[in-house]
Order: sequence, then structure tokens, then C-alpha cells
Amino acid sequence: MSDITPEAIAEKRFLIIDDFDQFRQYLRQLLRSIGATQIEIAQDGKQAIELLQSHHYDVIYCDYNLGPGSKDGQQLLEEARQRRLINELTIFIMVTVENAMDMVMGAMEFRPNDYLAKPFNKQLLRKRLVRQMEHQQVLQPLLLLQRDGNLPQAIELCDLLAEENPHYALSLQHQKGMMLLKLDRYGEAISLFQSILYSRPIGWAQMGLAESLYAQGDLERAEGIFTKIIRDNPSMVTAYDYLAQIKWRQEKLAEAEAYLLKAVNVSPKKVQRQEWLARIALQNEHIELAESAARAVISYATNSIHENINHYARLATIQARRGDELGASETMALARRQFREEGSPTLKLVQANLKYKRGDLAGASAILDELDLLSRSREDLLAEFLLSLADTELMVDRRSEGKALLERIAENHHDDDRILEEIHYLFRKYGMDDEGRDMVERVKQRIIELNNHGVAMARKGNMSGALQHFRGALEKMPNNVTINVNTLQVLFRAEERVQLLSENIELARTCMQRLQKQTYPHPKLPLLQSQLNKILTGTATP
Amino acid sequence: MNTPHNSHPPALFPAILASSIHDMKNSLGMVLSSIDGIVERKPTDHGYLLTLEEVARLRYEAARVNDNLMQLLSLYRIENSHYRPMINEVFVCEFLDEAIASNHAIIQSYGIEAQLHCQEELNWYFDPMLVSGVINNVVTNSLRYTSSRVELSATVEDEYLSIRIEDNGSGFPPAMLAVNGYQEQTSIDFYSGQTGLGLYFSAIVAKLHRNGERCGSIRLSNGGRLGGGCFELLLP
Repeated sequence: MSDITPEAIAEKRFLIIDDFDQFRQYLRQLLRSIGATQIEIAQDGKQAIELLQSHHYDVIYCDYNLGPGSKDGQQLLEEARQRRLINELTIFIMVTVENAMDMVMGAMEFRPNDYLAKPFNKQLLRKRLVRQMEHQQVLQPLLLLQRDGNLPQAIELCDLLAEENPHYALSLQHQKGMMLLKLDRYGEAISLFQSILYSRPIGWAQMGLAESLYAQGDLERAEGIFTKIIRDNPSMVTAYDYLAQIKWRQEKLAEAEAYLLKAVNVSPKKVQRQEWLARIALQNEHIELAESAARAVISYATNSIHENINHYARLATIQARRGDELGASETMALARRQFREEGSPTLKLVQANLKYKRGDLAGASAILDELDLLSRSREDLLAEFLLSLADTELMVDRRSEGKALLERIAENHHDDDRILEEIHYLFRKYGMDDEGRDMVERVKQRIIELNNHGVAMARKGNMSGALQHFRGALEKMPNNVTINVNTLQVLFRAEERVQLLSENIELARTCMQRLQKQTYPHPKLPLLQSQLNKILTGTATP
Repeated sequence: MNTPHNSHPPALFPAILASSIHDMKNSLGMVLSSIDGIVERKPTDHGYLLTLEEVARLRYEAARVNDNLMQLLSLYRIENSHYRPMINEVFVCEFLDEAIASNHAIIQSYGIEAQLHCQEELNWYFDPMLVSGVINNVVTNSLRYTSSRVELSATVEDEYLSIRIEDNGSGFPPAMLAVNGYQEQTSIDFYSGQTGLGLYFSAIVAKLHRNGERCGSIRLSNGGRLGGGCFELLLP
């Protein structure tokens, strides 16, 4: 049998999240009857996040449905994982009245550890919990490595654990595949997924294979597999997202929009998807669709981490485009009230657009001058905003300002394909396709050389020199992820006395903050964080 | 070559809906009248006295309603939002053990001997939520109609996973056994014969599980290992 005793259960901290009071009481009672003693409760998403911010929980039972005013269980899980309020060792169980896997198993990235369909009895509850706890016990060394961001070692451990526990072999392969993807080791990932697909058409293996091919740039093969996936399983939303990206890359905007529309019909709540639909619809001049998507963004972003003044700016811009000046003004007024930001750059940009539409070129230019200055002095402005600013500059025929800005954006994001695509798109839109490609190529080369130079110095042992070099680079392109990561890595390899210099500590902190702000967290982030913590708390080993 | 997902005529769902509402009203009617009957009794200091049989019946009828609702919802989603099985690796032994655990109250109250025969390492690939909808329902019914024993077993035969649920009751009536011949067609005849929603749902779920050219199926028979009814689910 198992060695998960009531005492073992008593050691765990439980959190119940459900909007139905009777159910909360019921579940608490059941948990007590199987040995739990530390049980806390939250009645909606907001309360849950507050508790998660200040306490650590081992097991979380979260209802998928948390009532009309709250984010749902899936959104809560995503937020909790993204903000690292829970980690790999937390057991997250989604409680649901649904009997369909797709509703509760979500996107690959943010799956719960298990689901529990209501109604359930004490016996089933206990069996499931024990199963999860046993699973954890066996995988604990792996989970710890993952928590600390040590993916390469975690990957090696997968094979070892699979040998010792053949029962878990396939799920360990799953973990390994996901980690290989995170580390960009696509060749190995492809072999792994293909070997699984040889025997069985397993969903995550198909997705993994298609994602790897996509990441490698083999768009055709990736497209083939994604298309097959949605044919067999029309509710695999993430596949639609990728197909939209592929079409976007192939400059087939209408088809990209069509895929996003399908995806949104299956799963409307994902904010980024609606955002993207709004932007593509706008580019395709489907103004009504763009507006409804922009509104959906705002409605789903409320009460979540995605809440952002940019969403209002986007809606206002679309309304202005439609000629609905009153609507645009109302939206901006709403945004100002919601975010209490009088001088928001995003709203100022909308103002500039409106002025231009009204024929007030001088007024628009004045605002644009102000924003251009801001874009040089503030490093916290989002890439999306800067791209919109560049778009407006080019639209009002301020070509040199627009191009210069696009070059600065490229410098800061030379390895981010999404943003580079957007830059290409803008150059194309304004008839400067070749010029744009040349510029991006030049920038990429320049940054690569810059990086290599610093890395070479570090390899030769000249850490101080390398740090100085990267510090200089960061002054020009503070948001470049690669340079920030390299700076930190150089610092971690330096001698202790160099590490502890106050200006280097300062630099390290700044780099870390920048990395933490990224929308898509860098796979090395947890590892870098733990290394930095060791230095800051004086426990670093040379 | 995949067969088109719309393998039954659209007129079928309203028939299914009407029939299962009828079914559920019956079950809930039983629950309500049982409770009304209980209230007629003289209460003791601790409340009303219920026999084991009565508790088991109430539990059974309520579970039937729940199963019906779940199956309706699943069929609706399969039909309209084109929901398809999400194939996952499932530890079959644990899976069947859970079906027994979920029916604990009935097993206790009726005093049934419930057994599981399955190899610990047996893993298979299917949609655990859809299939548990089938299995739990079949087990519940088995428990209701058996004499004293129910056995769950799983083996691999001919590259199909065979899950069997057997009892030592008086077996399936001929109308239900007729299911075996009908699975190629999912017509109104198949459904509205006395097969009921549960069997229809089971047949659909089985058929939706495909691997290459092969697809799943269900088989009902009488006799089996325990001499009563035998329900078999085959998954490729």
C-alpha cells in the first residue's frame, strides 16, 4: 500500500478556493476526516491571491468557477505560477463540474497537477490526494531542481528516475520534453517527441513536436502538424495560436486573423489572444472586429495581472480610426480614472492620433516630440507602445524619427522574433521593406558582435573588463534581454571582491529587475535569481 | 481516414434530451417520494430511521441523475463544440480503483463484495474524464442489480484494452443485449430502444476513441465469470 499516513497529511498546508460556502465547509470537513489540520479558505480569486502572497501552501483545491466578479480557476493558476506565488512543489488541484478535459487542463504551460470532478466523496478525495503525494515523493529531487531553475541537471535526472520508476516513464518524458523546449534544445526535443508518437498519438507529444519545429523555423512542417492537431481535436486552442503566428510570419494576415477568430471562439478569456486579434484585425482594416476584440481585452483583463492602460489606448485608437471621437474620449477618460495616470504616454499618443485626424499637424508633432524624448530617457516603456509610437511617427511622415525609433527598438530586442516581425511589418506598411530588412540585419550583427566581445573577455578571465563592456552596452540598449543575462552570468563567475563592489551589486539588481518585467519570463530566470540571492546573502561559493 | 464527427443525425439530440429528462424526473420522483415517506414515520431522538436499503436506493437514484446530466452535457459538447477525446496516459489499476471508491456508499449499504483484478503496471491511453463517466455509471448500475458481488477487471487483448464489469445478478434483458448489433449505426432506433442514455453514451465514447483504423466499442453479455451481466468496454 502507501506510506502516506494521516500524519503525513497533517503536515501539509491546504488552501480551499471556492465561491460556494457550503462546498468550502464540506471540503474542509472531508480533509479533516482524512487527517488534515492546517486548512485555510478563500472565497474568490482576489482573496486567494492575497493569501498566496503571504503564505506558502502545499496543496490547493481550487474551483474552476469562482463566481462572476472573480477571475476563474485557470486564470488564478496562471497568475500564481507566473508570479511564482506557487512553485513546482505545490500540488494544485482544479475542482470542476465540467466533465471535459479541455476546460480544465488549459494550455500546456499552465496545467493543474490534477483535476477533481464534482461531486466526489471522501474515498475518492483521499485516493487522489495520496496519489499526488506519492507522485511528489518520487519526483521530489526533480521538482527541486526545477524550482531552482537548474534545468540541465533536471533533464538528466529524468532519465534516471524513469529507469527506477517505469510506471512514471511517460510522464517523465513529458517533463523532459518541456524542459528541452525551454532550453532551446530543439533537436533533442524533436527526437523525444517523435519516439513517443511512433507508438501513440499523444496530444502533448504532437504539440511538443510542432512547437519544436516552429521554433527551429520549419514553418511548413509545423503547420502540417498543428493542422492535424486541430482536425483531430478542435478544442486544442494553443494550436490555433501557433497557426496564426505562422500565417503572420508568412505575411498572410487574413488567414492569421481567421485562426485567431476560431481560437477566440473556443476560448475567449485569454487576454493576449484577444489583444493579438485586435491588432491583426486593425491591420486588416476589420475595424469592427478589432473594436470588439479590444473591448474583450479590457473586460477579461479586469481583475487580472493583465490589467493595463495600453488596452484602453488601443480601444481609443480604434474608435478614433472609426471616426468615433466621442467614444475615444470617453475611453480615455475612463482609463485616466481607472489608472489615475494623468500624464500617461499611451494616452498622449492617442491624443496625437486624434489631433492628426483632425488636421492639427502642429499639435500632433508637439506631442510626438515629447514622446520621442521620453522614449530616449525612460527605459520602462513597453515595446508595444514604442512600436505604436513609431507607427504614428511614420504615419504623420516624420520618417527619420520613426526609423530611428525602430532602430532603437531593434537594438533592445534583437533576438525577439515577435518584435522584429512587427518592425518588418511597419517598414513594409510604409513602403520601406528593403530598408527595414537591412537595418534589422545590421543591428543584429552589431549586437551579436558586441555580445561576443564581452563573452570573449569573460572567457579570458577578464571579468571586470567584460562587466565594464556590458555596462556600456546597457546604457544604449537597457532592455536587451541577452545582454542583461550575460551581464549577470559574467558577474556570477567573477571573483568575490568584484561581485561585492557596490556598483556591480547595483548593476546586477537592475539587470534582474529588467528580466523580471519581461512578459515571457526567461527560462534561466529562476536559476539567475537564486544565484543572485546567494551573492546578496553572502552565501555564494566561488 | 477519419469518419465525419457528425455520425448521428441532428434530430437525435432532442430525442436524447427528452428521454433523459423523463428518466431524471423518474429518479428524482423516487427520491422525493422516499423522503416524503420517511417524514411520515415517527422521529426518534436522533431523527428519522432509515434502512440500509433505503439509503442505498436514495444514493443510487441521485447518482443516476448526476450521471445523466453529465452524459447529456458531454454529448452536447461532442455534438456542438466538436469535443473530442483528449488522449492521456492512464494508470488503469488506479483508475478502476477510483470507480469503486466513488461508489463506496452503495457498496457499504448494499453490502456488496467489490473486487478489482488488474495488473499494477497496466497503462493505457484514453480520455480519463469521458471514460470515467462511462465506467462509474456502469459500476453504479451493476451494484444496483447484482446479487452480492461485482468484479472489475482489465486486460489487454489483441491490442485493445478490455475493461470488464461483471456481476452475479440476473443479467441484462434482451433489449439491452441488442446493443451489440447496433453499434455500426447510431440511429434513433438504436437510441430509443430500451437501451437508455447510459449505454448510448458508452457506445459513443467508445467509438470516439480511435487509433489508426481501429476504434473502440462496447459489448454486453450474460454469464461472464460471475454468472450475471457482463459489460465490456474495448479501447484501441
